[in-house]
Amino acid sequence: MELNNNITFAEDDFEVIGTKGLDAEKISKPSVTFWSDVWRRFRANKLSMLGLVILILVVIMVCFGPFISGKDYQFIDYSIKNLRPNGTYWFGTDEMGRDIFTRVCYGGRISIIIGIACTLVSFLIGSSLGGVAGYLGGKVDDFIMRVIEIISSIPYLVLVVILSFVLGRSMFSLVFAMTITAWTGTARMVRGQVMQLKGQDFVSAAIALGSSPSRIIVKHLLPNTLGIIIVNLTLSIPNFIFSESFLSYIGLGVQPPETSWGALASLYQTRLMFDPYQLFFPCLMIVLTVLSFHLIGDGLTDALDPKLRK
Amino acid sequence: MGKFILKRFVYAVISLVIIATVSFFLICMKPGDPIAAKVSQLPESSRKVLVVKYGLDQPMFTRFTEYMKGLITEGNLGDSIVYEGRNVNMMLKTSAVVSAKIGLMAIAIQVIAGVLLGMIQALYRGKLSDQVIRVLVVLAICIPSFVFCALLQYFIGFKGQITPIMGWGKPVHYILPVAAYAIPGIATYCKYMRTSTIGVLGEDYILTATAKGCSQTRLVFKHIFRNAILPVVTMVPVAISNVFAGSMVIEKFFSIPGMGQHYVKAVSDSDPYMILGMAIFFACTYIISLFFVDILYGLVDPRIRVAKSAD
Repeated sequence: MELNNNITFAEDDFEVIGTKGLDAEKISKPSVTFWSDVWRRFRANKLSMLGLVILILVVIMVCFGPFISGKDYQFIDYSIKNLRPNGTYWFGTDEMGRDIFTRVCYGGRISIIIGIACTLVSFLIGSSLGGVAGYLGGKVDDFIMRVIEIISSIPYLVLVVILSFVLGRSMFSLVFAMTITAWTGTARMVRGQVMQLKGQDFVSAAIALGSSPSRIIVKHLLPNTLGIIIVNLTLSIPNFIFSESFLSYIGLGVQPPETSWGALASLYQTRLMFDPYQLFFPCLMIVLTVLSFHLIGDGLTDALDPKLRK
Repeated sequence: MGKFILKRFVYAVISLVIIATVSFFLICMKPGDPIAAKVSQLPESSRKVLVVKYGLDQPMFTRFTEYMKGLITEGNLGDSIVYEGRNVNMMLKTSAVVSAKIGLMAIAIQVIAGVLLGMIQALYRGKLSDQVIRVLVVLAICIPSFVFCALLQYFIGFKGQITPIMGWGKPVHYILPVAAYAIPGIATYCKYMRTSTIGVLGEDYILTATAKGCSQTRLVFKHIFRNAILPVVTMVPVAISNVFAGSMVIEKFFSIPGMGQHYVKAVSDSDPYMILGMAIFFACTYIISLFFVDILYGLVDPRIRVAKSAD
């Protein structure tokens, strides 16, 4: 093959074309905050969005259901007992003629409120103690970890049963009984995170600038552990809903006339052979709620973890 | 290693003493008279006899030392106040076996099925079988155990007429409770096994084994399975210690005379010493198993042993 050595290049042959009027230094994409970035990634996950939609629907139903159905959850009428689901009574009626739809809505309020309240309390105690233990280290850390070790060596359900037996059956005592051991998990996790972050440069910089320990914990360490904490929160709400339903089921939960999904399931289980639909609805609500929290939690894990960014 | 075991042992004993003390005072501080229901029909003199018999006239601290003395010297976990002549030890003898049988069978099924499914998921990652098992696992985790009980009882016992719907005594009675106990655990083991197997698959020694021409079967059983099952195995002792307290709902649902049902019954009877004795028993089995898990970890994983002896 013959090489053509006679090609001559002109000056404008090397000009970059198509970039006229563009400023390479200019940031063309609007800046995105961390949370809108998280939301964008979360939204891309179809299963998690499904979870969010289910959860919103459940919350709407629980909040406004009783107004829509227009019935009272305690109203007893034996003439309409054990009706199958129909146009008037959407989920049917129970042994005492009470509207199951309205009762499921009321029960859901208690179940969800207990789930959220327990999560918040255990999160507050756990993250502050865990944060302090991880940040200060030494004797304080040793002491807090010993306490955590002892508390978590008690079987969870056994302690909850004893506490709710001793404290009675108010909502406050339920929350107390369930959070007294549950904060240890959060504390361990936050401690681990804080210990990991403590050695990083931005903390050294804050110390060098003379920040107080409390400021460093609140301003620098906690925000950086927030991602993991949020995932943990979404996954612990369903656990508390589970525990509450378990306690109500064995007769230690909320007391009549108040009700919860677990209490309803326990009550309607006796009619399982004759009217299985009665047990079906409270169980369905528990499963849907817990499922939605799990799906959201999975989505958040992926969305909050920068390492999984695509 | 000896120092490490001793340290763990001391912690275990301290935890146990604290738990026994705290639960004793908690339960005894509950307002109300534990024998009120029993003595309401009796004359005052008989009432006095009962009060003295159960030591209810003594200050709380004396009762505590008496209880601890009985517990340590005779191993007496406490007597029932509601039912004459019944005590925790007697009840444990009959009911612990029942709970243990159901629990151990269920755990065996959990481990075998969970490990198998988890391996399948990891080896066929992203394929159809992985997706299907994943959906089933999420469902199994999201459904409370009494719902499983209800579903099994309704469809297998009632509609299918395959097994009796409840009761105890014949081998056929085991099927429903063991299944209800096993299902959530299968999901948990499966989840752990999947993560652990995927971790092992990324290791260099798997690459080496493949490169030197290891057969598929040998690779899976000799290299992957052995290494992936370790974290799962360490979960088993705690699961075993939970068989006594873990089946409260299932035993209540199928009316099985196990420990869980007795515990629930003691609570609804407000029988303080029965609750206390059983709680101490539950805590004891749990703490002992945690102790063994710690030692097991130390033996299995040299890294932990080094870290522990360093501090």
